[in-house]
Amino acid sequence: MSATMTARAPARRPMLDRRTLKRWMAGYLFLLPAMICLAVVSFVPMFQGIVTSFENFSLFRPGQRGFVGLDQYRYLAEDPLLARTFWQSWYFALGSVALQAILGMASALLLNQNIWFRGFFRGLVLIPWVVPGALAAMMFGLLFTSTGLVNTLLADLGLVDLGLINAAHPWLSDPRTSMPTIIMANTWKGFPFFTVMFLAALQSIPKDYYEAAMIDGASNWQSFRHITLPSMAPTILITTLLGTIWTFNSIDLIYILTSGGPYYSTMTLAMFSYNQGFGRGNIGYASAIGVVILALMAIITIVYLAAYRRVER
Amino acid sequence: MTGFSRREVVKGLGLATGAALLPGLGSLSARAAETVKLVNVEHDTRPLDNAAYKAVYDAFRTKHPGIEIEFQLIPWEQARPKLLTMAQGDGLPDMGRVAWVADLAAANAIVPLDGKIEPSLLDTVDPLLVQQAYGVGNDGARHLYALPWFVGTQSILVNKTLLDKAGITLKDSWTTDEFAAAAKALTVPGKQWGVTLDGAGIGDPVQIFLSAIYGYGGKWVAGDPQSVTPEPIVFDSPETAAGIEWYTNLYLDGSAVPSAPTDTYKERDANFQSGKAAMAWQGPWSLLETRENFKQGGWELASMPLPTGPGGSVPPSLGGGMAGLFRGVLKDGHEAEALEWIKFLSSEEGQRLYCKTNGMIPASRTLQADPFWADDPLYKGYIGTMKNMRQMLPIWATGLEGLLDDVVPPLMQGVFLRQLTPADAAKEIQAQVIRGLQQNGVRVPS
Repeated sequence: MSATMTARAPARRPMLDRRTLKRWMAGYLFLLPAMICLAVVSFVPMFQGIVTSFENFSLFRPGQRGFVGLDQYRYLAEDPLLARTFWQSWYFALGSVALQAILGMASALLLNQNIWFRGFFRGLVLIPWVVPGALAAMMFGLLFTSTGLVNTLLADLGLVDLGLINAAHPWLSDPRTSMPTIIMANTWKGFPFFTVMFLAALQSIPKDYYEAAMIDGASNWQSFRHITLPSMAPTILITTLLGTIWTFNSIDLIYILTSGGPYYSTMTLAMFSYNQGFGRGNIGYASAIGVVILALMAIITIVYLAAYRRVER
Repeated sequence: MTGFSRREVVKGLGLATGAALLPGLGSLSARAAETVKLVNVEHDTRPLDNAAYKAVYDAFRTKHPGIEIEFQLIPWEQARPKLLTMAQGDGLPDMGRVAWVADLAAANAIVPLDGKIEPSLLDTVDPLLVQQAYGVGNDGARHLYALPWFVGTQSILVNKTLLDKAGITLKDSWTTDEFAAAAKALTVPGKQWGVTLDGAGIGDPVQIFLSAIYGYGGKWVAGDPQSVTPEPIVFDSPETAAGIEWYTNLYLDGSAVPSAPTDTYKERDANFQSGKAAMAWQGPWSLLETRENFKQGGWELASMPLPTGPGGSVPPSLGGGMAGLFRGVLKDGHEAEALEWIKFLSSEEGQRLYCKTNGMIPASRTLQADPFWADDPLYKGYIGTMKNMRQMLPIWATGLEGLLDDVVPPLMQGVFLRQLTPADAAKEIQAQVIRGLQQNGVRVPS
């Protein structure tokens, strides 16, 4: 009896038995090509960039790269443009991502309804996403020039007569409107990505939840607030994280529309780094700015991923 | 009777064909061995440029059938950084347009031509233009790096129809004050502006801004800009501030297109060619196309010389077409053939073919006297301003052109927007340039 009553302690399996090891090996083997590609196109240049930020590397002094320790970072800390470009980068990135998320959510909710020509509209909404950045920038440049379509429309609406706006307002050349105009262009260009991601998340929410909520007398807003948003939270987090990183690093729209002007009002860290590296030939300094951007993005990613885990739990 | 099988017939035919083709293949490979293939790089993308190059290349091929050239294009905005990074990666082409002689020479991207060309080739070219082809090499010495084949001088292009309407007559000479008054008279608020300026982008905004400053007596260095050793920079002066004030007042008075602070040369051209602006300060880069566009718009195109400021005539920028050899040619071992091409391009025959096709102004003074240019009133303003040419940037200032492209536009915009005074802008430009030159390894004496 006692023998049957005494539970035998189960034999402890080794942490890595042969079968597990074999399975793991197969997994890693399949991952290997992707990891090699990632290392070659991403990690090696990243590492090189970090090393270059400690060097005095100028395009005008070939073969004279010397180790200068933290000098580039010291110059950067003293550069009056650093603080300005830092805040403007956040203004550009967060402004764009917030608007893209709102517009993306609105269009995803609309496209999730049973409407006529739904497939057509789903295709249509993707157009801004597939338009090349340079082309989009040129289009917005023409729209927002002093005699462009936007000013003509605003004049037709009577805003000029009311004195609310100048008849030939140069949207991109006025520091008060230059960044909002670029954010608007970037929102138009990037919201379809949010739409597609949000639409996929919406379609994965079981209909039963909404039916149960309806029976319980929940309003549309309550359904959205308590069912849709919590169910979509992981997607919203990942999409906004990606959007923030991409926007923070992007320069195409700014480069073409304003080149960081007027008077540095649209200069972001990424644009600042580009100008230092390719305008002034100061690759070491540009790399130091790049490393600052990398560190900022790493912090943001860690915070987002922590939030993501919490939401998933 | 012994017949041949089908396989034997096919084999026999194959052998016979092979035997017949072998000598031909041999001569083909011999011909391929004789042909030298070179890469020429250009960075202008005007519609007529391809035709201009083709005209020169066709004539060149009749004289040098053994030299084949592949023409590559790097867009203007990207050309300088691209060539500098190509120099770092040892991936430079063989030859082509050398627009930033001082920078490319310092980066060891171009090959000195001293002793490799006959001096008579440069006899008919304005000595000031030839000076632009000199740079300071890695050895600290001054070398000739390029051969000029066209001139990028400047003039005031005007919409004569709009000037006539405003009662303004064309002049052979005028002052900066008269220019500003004309710009004001040509402005119809909200609809039409007297002048179009470009406050962003690379090249033009800095060159035009500096020309205006030089017209007021401002300058970079007090000494000889051809000196190989650094000299004190004297840009921060009351004369410079006066030049900045005059230039930026064109915008602040409302006489310039309101988007000037962020307009590049592309928008400036579009503003002028659409009738939005009556005058444009620019080089002869697309005169034939501009004249054609004007015809379609029902306007007449004319040119006037740059105005004269209190410091003397406003000097035009000395840019233009300079052909040189890139370091890539040393790897191939075809330096002699590449030299033949740049010599032909900058010869009178090459210049004539190129410039007549795309409407540029040849570097040779003999050719400038050709009726095609001398009798055309449109070119008169351009050729007239050439007598005021002055070298503005010292050749010892490594990386100065790129530095100015980065430093000047934002500070000029600051004055346009009344966030900086002209004196503050002059001071800040000088400070940033000295700091930038130090980062490029040039110690500027105080």
